Amino acid sequence: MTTEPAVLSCENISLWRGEAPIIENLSLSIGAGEVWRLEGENGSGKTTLLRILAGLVEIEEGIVRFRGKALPAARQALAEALLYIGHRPGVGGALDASENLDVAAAIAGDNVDKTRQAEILDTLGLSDKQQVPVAALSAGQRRRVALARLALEQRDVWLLDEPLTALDAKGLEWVREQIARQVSNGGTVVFTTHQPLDLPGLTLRSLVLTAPDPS
Amino acid sequence: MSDEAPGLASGFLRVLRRDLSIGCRSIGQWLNPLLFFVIVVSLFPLGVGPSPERLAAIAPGVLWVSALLAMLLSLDSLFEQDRADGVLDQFVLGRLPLSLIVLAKVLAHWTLSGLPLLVLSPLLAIMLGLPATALGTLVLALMSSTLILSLLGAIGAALTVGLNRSGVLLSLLILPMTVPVLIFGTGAVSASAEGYSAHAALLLLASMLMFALSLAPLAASAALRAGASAPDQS
Repeated sequence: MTTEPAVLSCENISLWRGEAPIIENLSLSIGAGEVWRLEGENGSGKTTLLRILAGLVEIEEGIVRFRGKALPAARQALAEALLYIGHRPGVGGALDASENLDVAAAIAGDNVDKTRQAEILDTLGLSDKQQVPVAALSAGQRRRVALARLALEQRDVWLLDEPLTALDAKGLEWVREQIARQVSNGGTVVFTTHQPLDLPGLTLRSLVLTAPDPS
Repeated sequence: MSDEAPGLASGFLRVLRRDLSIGCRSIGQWLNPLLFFVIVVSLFPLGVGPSPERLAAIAPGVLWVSALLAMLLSLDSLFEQDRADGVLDQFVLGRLPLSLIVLAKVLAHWTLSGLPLLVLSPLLAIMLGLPATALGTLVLALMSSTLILSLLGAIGAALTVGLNRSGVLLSLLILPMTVPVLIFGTGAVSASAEGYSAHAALLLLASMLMFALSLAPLAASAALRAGASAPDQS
């Protein structure tokens, strides 16, 4: 019996910045339907690991695999399945919320569904803010605009860097619902956060990163 | 995932429209290069003296160098805001080909900072005493030249994105590459002003444009991918 390969896996990966190691000899296997939380102090490499998993950062040693195929060869397959929202959430300040989501969909290679988009923005409490440039919104509202993509784009793998920053309790609840929905659809979620987030009914796996000793 | 993905053309147009509408909302982005162009060209008669023969002789060179410098002003910000917003990561990761996104951004950049120069250039040429017979050649040659510069500039902007004070480095990278454009662009206009045919120079410019159009987006997207791997300097 052959087992399904892990959705994302790392085998002994290492990365240095000059002389300083960022990640040393890390192995990790993330399966379908799993929720992973990357923990660790500031500077422990959480963002870097997420960017490695997304295929943005190339590693110096080891292999990153997506569904058994090594990156960067599997980049196109990963692009089909990936939704990455970085620490800087990828919304342009000069455009309003729906323009931002239109462009995000175009870049992702998706169709723009205006009705669905209006629904989501409404649920997120942004319906009266649709004509306002995103730069004029609060940090939490900007984050909500970026996170609207969780509901708009159907992707198997979510890599979310600090998705809860600046969110209020209602926003947090919404993200929790989205994660539960994603997992029930067999999707995978990897995120970083410094805030407590309990996910009732879900198994939260965590990986604690420590900054490698430079000596 | 079930519904069919939209075509590349619609994605391209959406990115183009995005950059154009961002550009139109900040007046400085299209007005600054234009004012710079007008002021630099106007400084030459003051510097070299108002003799009509001398001005007419240097007019093509003055117009070209001023236009190149004016366009460089806005080039270093081509990818900078997108990087700061995190949109650049989405460009790299999205299903829409990165080179297509680069091409859309280049065309938007040219429309905002090259096209206004092109529109105003006949007026400035007449001010410098260039014969009216050379104006058609001037517009054609300047159009190819500014487009080539936008394309080459995208490579430089992609290589220097995220660096502090990238403007000077960008100029150092790009200006040497513009030498052929300068030679054939001014050559075409001078020939036409002296009553010779400018066809050869214009066709050479057109072929350089095709070369840049096909390769610059690929080179710039390779540079952007490499840049995404670099440490984040937020």
